[in-house]
Parts: sequence; structure tokens; C-alpha cells
Amino acid sequence: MSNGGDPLVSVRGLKKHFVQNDGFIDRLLGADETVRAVDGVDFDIHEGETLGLVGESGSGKSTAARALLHLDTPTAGTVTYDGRGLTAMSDSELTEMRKRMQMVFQDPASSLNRRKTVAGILKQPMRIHGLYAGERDERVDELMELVGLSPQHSNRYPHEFSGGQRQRVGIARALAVEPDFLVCDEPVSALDVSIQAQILNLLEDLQDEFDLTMLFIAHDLSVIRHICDRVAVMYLGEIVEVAGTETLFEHPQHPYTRSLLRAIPEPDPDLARDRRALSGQVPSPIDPPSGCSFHTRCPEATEECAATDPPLDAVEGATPGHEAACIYAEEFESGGGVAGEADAEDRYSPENFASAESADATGD
Amino acid sequence: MTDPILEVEDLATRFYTDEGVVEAVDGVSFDLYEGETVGIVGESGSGKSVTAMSIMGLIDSPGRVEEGTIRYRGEDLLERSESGIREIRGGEISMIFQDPMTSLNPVYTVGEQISRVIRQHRDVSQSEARARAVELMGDVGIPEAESRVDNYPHQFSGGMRQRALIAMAISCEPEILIADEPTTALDVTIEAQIFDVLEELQETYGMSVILITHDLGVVAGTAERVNVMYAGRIVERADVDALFENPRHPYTRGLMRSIPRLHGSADRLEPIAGSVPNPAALPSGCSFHPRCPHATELCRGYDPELREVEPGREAACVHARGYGGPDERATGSGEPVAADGGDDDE
Repeated sequence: MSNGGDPLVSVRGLKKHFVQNDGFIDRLLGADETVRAVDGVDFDIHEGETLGLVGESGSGKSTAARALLHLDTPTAGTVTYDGRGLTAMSDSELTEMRKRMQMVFQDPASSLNRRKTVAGILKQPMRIHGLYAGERDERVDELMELVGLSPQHSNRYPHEFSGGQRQRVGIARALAVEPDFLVCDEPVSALDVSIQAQILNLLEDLQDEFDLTMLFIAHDLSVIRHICDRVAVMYLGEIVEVAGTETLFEHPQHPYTRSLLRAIPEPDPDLARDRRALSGQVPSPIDPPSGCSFHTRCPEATEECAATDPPLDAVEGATPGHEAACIYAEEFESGGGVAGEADAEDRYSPENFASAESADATGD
Repeated sequence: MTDPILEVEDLATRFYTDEGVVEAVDGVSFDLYEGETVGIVGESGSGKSVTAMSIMGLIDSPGRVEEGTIRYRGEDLLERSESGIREIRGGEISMIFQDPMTSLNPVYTVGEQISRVIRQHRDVSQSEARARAVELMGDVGIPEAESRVDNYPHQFSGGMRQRALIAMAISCEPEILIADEPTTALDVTIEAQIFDVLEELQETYGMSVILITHDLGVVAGTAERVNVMYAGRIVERADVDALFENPRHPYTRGLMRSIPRLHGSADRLEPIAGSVPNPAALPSGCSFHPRCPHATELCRGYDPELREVEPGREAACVHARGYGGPDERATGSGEPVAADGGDDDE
């Protein structure tokens, strides 16, 4: 994680509201409902860093990313990229900027054009941005190799590839115009378990090689833990906690983060049986609760929580950069997170395959 | 132990597609005892859902259950006629599916749909069925069941829809509940709630549960015994603690290593090389050999059966500890063969 200096991406007061109405009569009667999908978020992403954005469905994480890139115009707030404000830019200026900011989508099957060969898919962004004229075929081969695909297969269509390979194509497309900022929106959640790790490792390698800055969106905290330097936790359109990855997982200070961590089934019978459910459901973003939006589900909530909407503030006495939006954040004993020390994962290693007695003996 | 309530033996279900015959389930055997939860874990194409559909008698053309027996309380369900199966399906053996939106009919209220299942299997009046529906909706944790019984599915959130489906599945107090990825479409906090409900119901009604999932975390917390499937076969079976403590099959070990974890080291992940094979063109010998770090020449030609490697646990790998090598039919040198690299080309 790089510190010091200005951040590459700086988001302030970002809001994205959608107006929902069921048609003419509703509009006539003024029965519009405003969905507050993203309701005022601030964050910075420094060069070379991966910021994770984690939350349940409806938390606004994907909407925040789209608003950041101005794929959807934000309702309010500013986005500064490398010192330049995106919000005031014209369409042509934005197009120019997008060369530097690319996106990898969740579902490689639906985000790739079925009628185009992979070569055609990879050339499209180069054409749009007028890059690599006359040497696009070479660039396609280079990209294929970069993401671990055989260049001979570039004349194939997306359906001829497996899910993991299609996601490799999606990544190659994002890299085609040499961006310095990559937004990955749930890039592995549609993939088989055994393939997820391949794609996560590929993203890490590419980040190292090209010095990429990343915003990594996921609902899966275990995935976030493995790939991100810092993590922002979203709930109902707001960031409720942000911290360095290790700090967040070992010393979560917001009750929502703590509950999320306890709700995750860990692939370990002892830990998984200890899983505890968080009661209730995510409230509607049309009519969010008063005060702290988490108070309706929070095991620690008091009357004051229904009245006070806590800002995202530095947690006193915690690691610098650790912020939480909870009036009691300082009062929770630290800990309550996961154990960070390495354990007996070695027992699954190929070396211990045939002679697993040693692993048996060290069992916990 | 008493006799199992369900015994699946040598089940083979094939699909006759344009691309050839797909052996979706190829010789699967397992038992389910009363009151227990058995997990079936696998990735896409492993045959776990087809196994469930075969038990439910829901395999449609071009698929056919072609071999094996599925004995429920000693009686082979495959011998039953379609109407005979229907008596059991939804009644004594019931199933919940992954996607709660497509499994509910959008034009009927939730209450009507639950009532219909009840009346299909029980001789009760409309109002009795409705009252039972309200009661069941309360049991699965739907708040204000009295009024929500008249809601349509679109008025329910994803988690509430899944609860409604569970209410429907347990409405006739089934002996066996098959849960096929029941929480895959849901958020983790809702998932944990659903498993709490299932666990409670299992205690109340004494059901046996077959839990089908791709998620090793979910089986770890829920199942007592686990079957790991790969390419239409069960490749490993063990009690849940033994399986996670020390998996014997290289595929299970690979899965355990490749999943990102909350606890322990956050170092680089160790993926399984290659990709899940196309079920219409499975590799020769052991289906896992092209991805296996321990594969030898033997594995290319020899297809290992599931065999006991230790009392109470089985694996299908000639190199697994306790397997004792191939049987007499086997040939081959035992020369190591390199597994495919990181490239997941076919």
C-alpha cells in the first residue's frame, strides 16, 4: 500500500439516487419514490493500492463504482482522478479519461459480445480509443498470453471457452488500452471454486506487473481479505467502516462488520458450527431507518442510535486510517475479528498427501 | 445403526445430447440415515444436482436414469410409476431449489401455493390448509404470517421467498428433505438465518437432509457426513471432521487449498490447475488426472473405484493413503506425469 502524496482517486460526498415510479398515474400524483442507492460516500484510493468495497446485495457497492466511473452520472458529490475533477468534464473528455479507467464485470458470459471473436472483442476498446493502429493483431496475441490464454484461440467465440477462460478474456479486454485504474465488480463470484483462485492470482500478478490501482468489489469477505490492501464496508448506501485489511479483519470496530464476519461459514467444521446469524434484513433504501441505518439489526443498538446518524470517523486509539461510523466504536473491546496467524493449512499441501500421518498428529 | 432410510446404489443418469452421451451421474452410491444431514459437494457439472433430481424422479428427456436403485425404506423408487412417484414427491421426500424466484409461481399468493401442496397430499379443507400454511410460515420465521399469507412472491424479499419455499417443502412433514444450493442466491447474513431455520425444523420434524452445495463452508457447518463429487462420481466420502482434518483425495485437497479463508494465512492462493472437464468428453482413466499434482501414468488408464481407505472413510484414488493400489485389472508403470500448468486450456 502506498502512502503519502495525493491519492489517484478521490471520492467526496458521492450520492446516486434513482427515482422510481410505477408509471404515468404515479407521476401525476407525485408518488415518486427515491431509492438512495448510494448516499454520501467518501474514500481515496492511492496509486498501486487495491481498495476493497464489500457489502451485501443492495448495499450500493456496484452503484458507487459506476457513479465513480461516471457510467451513471452521480446525483451529488465529486470524483477526482489524478487531480482532475470528472464531474465537470464533457463527454469527450470523459471518454479520453476512460482509457485510464477500465472495468472487469461479474458475469463474463453476458459481458462479452457473443457474435464477436475474442480478437474482435479485444480490438474494440483499442479502436474506440484509437490505439495500436496497424499493430492490433500483435497486441491481441500479447494480451492473450498475458492472461494465460493461447494466442491461437483468439479467433474463437466466447461460448467456446470455459467460464474461467471467459473471465480471462474480460480481464484482457480491460487491459487492452493500458489503463492505470481497474474496477473489478465481483470478478470471481460466478466462477467455480477451483477456478476462482486462478483468477485472483492472475489479477494480483497483473497488478504487480503493470502497477495497477484497483477498486475490488465483492460480497465475499474471504476473497477481499486475500486481494485487498484496504477495505471499505458498505451498508445501505453508506460506508460504515474502513481500515487496512489486516486491521479490519482482526479488529473490526463496527457492529455490522463484526456481525458479517461471524455470519460467514468458514470451511472448518469447528468454526463453521460457531457461525451466528445476524437477525433481520437489509431495510429498504427507499425509506432507510432514522439515525444509524444499521440500528434496526444491531445487537448493540441503544435508543440514541435511532436518533443519531454517526459520521465515518477515526476510531480513537486504533490503527491510523481506521474509521468507523458508530457512536460506540471505541467502546467495543478490540478483537472480535478473525485469527490472523497461519494454522495447519499445510496439512492440505501436496507434500503431505501420501504421508499424512504428520498432519494427523498436529491436528487441532 | 438401523437401516438407512434412503439407499442409492450404482445410480447412473445419462443425457443423450447432440454432442454425445453425457454421463452426468456415473455409478453413485450413498446412504442416508434417519435424522442425519449428508452433504454432497461439487462444482458445476459434477452431477450433484442430477443426483438429487434422479432421486426426486424429475429427470426429463433427453436424460434418463438408466442404472441402479434408489431404495426408500427398502422400496426401489425407480420401480414406481409416474403417479406412484408423485405420491411420494413433495410428501415424504421433498426438495428446495436454489432460485426462490423461479420456483414460486408469480400469479398465485404464497399462501395459495403452500395450501395447494398440503391439499395434494392431505385430505383437508381449504381453510384448514390455509391455517396450516400460516402456521408453517411462522415456523420458518416469516413475520406477520397472518397477513403475508396473502402476498404474492414479488412482495417478498429473496430470503423471505426461500423461507416460503422451505415452508412449502416441509408442509407435509417429509421424511427426507433435499436442499439443492438452498442459499446460493442469498446474502451471507440471510444464509445463516436460513440454516438456523433448517436446523430447527430438522429437530422438530426429525427429517433427514441431503444438502447439495458447492460451498465447503456450508457443508462444514451443517453436514455430518460428506460426499465429494467430481465429474459424475463420488471421489471421497467421510465424516465431516475427518474430511476437513485430512482429506485423502487430491481433488478434495486441492479444493481446500484453493478457497480463500477468513482465518489463517492470507498468502497467495493455490489454485487447482486446469478447468472442470466437459462432461461430454471426460478424460480417460481417473477423470481428475489432467489436473492432479500426483497423477502418474497409471492414472491415465486406470479408473479407480471408491474404496474404503480407513474405517468409515472412502476415496477413489490409487495414490490415496490406505487405498492399497490398483486391483489386478490395472496395468501401467507408475511413472509420474506432470499435471497441466496454470493455463486452464482444455
